[in-house]
Amino acid sequence: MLSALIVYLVFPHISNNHKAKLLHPLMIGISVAMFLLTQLVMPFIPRYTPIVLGYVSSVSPEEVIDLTNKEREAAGVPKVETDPALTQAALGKASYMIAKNFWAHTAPDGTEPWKFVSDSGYQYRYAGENLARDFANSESVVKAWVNSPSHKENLLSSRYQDIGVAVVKGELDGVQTTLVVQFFGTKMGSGAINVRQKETQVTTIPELAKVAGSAQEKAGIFLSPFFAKRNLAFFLVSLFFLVLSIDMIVVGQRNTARVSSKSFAHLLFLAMVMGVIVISKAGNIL
Amino acid sequence: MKEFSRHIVHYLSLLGILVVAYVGFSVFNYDKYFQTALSIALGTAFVVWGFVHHHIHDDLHPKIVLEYIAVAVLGVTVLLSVIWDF
Repeated sequence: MLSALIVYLVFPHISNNHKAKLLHPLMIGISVAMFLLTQLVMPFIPRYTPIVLGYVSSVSPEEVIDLTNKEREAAGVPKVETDPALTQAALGKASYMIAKNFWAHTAPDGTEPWKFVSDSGYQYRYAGENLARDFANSESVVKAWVNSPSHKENLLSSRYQDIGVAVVKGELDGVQTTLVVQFFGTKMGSGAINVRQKETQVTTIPELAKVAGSAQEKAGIFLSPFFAKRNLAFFLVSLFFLVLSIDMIVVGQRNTARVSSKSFAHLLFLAMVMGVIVISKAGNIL
Repeated sequence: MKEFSRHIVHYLSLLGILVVAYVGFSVFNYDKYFQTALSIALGTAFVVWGFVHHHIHDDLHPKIVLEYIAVAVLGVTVLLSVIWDF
């Protein structure tokens, strides 16, 4: 019974009109619908299981600053100095995103990044912001920024003299995530006094960020939504790749005459899709 | 491979489309909107390729077009799911 079902689904046979049932448009459509269903169900998994959705990350602000300066050095641009006020601004922005559950340069309530810079006492002539989330390590964060022209422009701009970076763990849309906020700036001549006044507040902010909840603090099995989705996607495409290969070989050997599309073309297309899945990486920048 | 050598020009054009798309995905990996547009363009190009290929060989049939659309939808759905990972 089971073997007959497998033959019906996977092998070209008289029972399926010489085309594996899985390759019929209706079955492909059902597979796509089931795949999409798993995406919809995924956010609800933590509610009913001990699984925690999130990303394991080892990004550190010091490494991000160090790597940023290495990129600037390589490009012949002067290094940027860590500024306590900008660091506080970055922590403030990251904590605000966690608290208000958003991921953007400008908050849904209209709060712009520059408000955090000004509130920290850093009176800027120039300021810039790079954002990142869900990256595994500092190298991949900086690499992603360097690969993006607009972020690279910030990273390598000779207009900036100071830098502040914050790495904050917290929950966004039910997923444990790590946010990286990178502020660049150049002070106005009169900003030095204000900056010094705010330096005393810097130590309190990391504690606030920690309260927002780190992934490691929550008990349970840790599951990366990206890798779960990627593995499932790879499995689905591989399954169709396998069935198409069987179809092409069997039909070729039997010389079966049928009205059908070209399995070889589908194989090329799915091989390319598999290639893109393989090179895809977790992490987003803004 | 027999199929490939028989319609080498057709398959080389398909390969060209796929290689360009793959390079696009790897070079513009930071730009999710570009990748989204590329995924949809790729799916459309694949269906059009199938249509033209079968039309030239006089064996175009609605069932065949539907098969290309189904495989394209599968591929594009999977690509979009890994592009938009949150």
